[in-house]
Amino acid sequence: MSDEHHDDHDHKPIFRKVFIALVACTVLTVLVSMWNMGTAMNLIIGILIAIFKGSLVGLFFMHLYWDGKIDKYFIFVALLPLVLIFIVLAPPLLDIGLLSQP
Amino acid sequence: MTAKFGMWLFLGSEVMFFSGFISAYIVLHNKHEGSKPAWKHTYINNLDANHHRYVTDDVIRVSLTDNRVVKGEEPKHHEAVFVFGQKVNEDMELLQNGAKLHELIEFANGDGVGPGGDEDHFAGITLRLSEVHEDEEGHGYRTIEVLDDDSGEDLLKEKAGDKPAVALHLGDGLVMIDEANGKEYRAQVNRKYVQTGSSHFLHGEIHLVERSVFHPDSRGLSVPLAALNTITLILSSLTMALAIAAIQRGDQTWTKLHLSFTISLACVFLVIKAIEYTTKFNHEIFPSTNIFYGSYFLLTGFHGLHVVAGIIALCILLWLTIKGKFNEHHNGAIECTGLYWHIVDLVWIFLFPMLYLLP
Repeated sequence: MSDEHHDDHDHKPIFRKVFIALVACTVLTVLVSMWNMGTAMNLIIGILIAIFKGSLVGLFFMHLYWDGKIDKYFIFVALLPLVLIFIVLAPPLLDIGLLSQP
Repeated sequence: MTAKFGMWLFLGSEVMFFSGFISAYIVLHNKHEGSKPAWKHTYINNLDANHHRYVTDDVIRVSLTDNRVVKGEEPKHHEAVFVFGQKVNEDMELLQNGAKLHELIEFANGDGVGPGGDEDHFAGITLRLSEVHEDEEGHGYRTIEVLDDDSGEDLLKEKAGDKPAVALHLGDGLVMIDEANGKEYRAQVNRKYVQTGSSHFLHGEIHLVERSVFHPDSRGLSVPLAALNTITLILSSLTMALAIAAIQRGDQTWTKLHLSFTISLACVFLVIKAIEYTTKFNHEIFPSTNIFYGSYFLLTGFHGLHVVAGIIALCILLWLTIKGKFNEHHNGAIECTGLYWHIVDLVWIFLFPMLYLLP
């Protein structure tokens, strides 16, 4: 489905680099979690690393980086609910971060 | 293009589906956050005065030490902790209506209090243990009486009013689960046999820790297995992307190989997941055990179903590829399934830190 002129590009080296980055991020997630900075902080860092990993998967494995403009619009279909969810989540996140920490 | 748009729309609803679950999980996690020491008591117990009664803040803890100690051996040691329906501290109520005590860990010594677990005598005290009763959920428990041999009065009832005393068998660990509040109380006993000259002392500490069922130690999940699973899924995402790249080059052989790798890795993921589940089931941990395991099995279960669905789709693709249905111009099915598979990976990327790593 990609535009024809993209097909001759060899993405394999990039895929491998992305894979190594994802594994490194997984190790990083585990290492960071051993350091207890409070639930809110660990949650935020965990989510940030996950978002970074998710972006790598989306951009490269799911071809969004190379896809044409129309495909790039498609992702909003998937991301809009996510943004809404985070708006819903913001109050409890702020709550644990600012109010309930001893 | 139409097929791909349809796939993105479906993935959008998938993202909503899992985001909803993950959000609910985070809210529950935050509600039950935390771990704090609820109580700690240090005692030095001369083995001759072989019972120890400790009363504080309306909480009674009794530890009993068997004096039949052979020098040089670990003391044969029985301990019980009794917590009644009173406040442990200002903001926490333990075992009030609705809270349940579950006997989860047997006596470390194996034989309970005395042979047969019925009655045992220590200096000035009779410890009487009832038959094992079952609560309405089928969990075994025993009631206990501690009688003063001289006066005949029940030393526990004296403090506990008329509430039945629930015995908690305390070996090296004790777990009480307060389901109503999503908390568990874990007592840890550290004890040391000390000899000073001709005197024998038992030095011990009882820690009672109040802990959320979401606490890492309460969850007891295997981080290495889950990390391995994460890497397995990431690797399967890589092979999926390579399969798409191969079919877009028109390379049938590598398409088949990469699809096979992806299917195999997905199966490895499920096998590891099955090992994790079986371990939990063997410890009699089920979705109904507490709110954490409810969330855990729900989230990983639905994700697992997505993996199964992905495996089925990938097998169909592999079969169609073997039949030569795809080429460099006609491969939309593989591309769309690839998008789905990457989302399955992506969901796990979020589930892993949420379920396994959050403090």
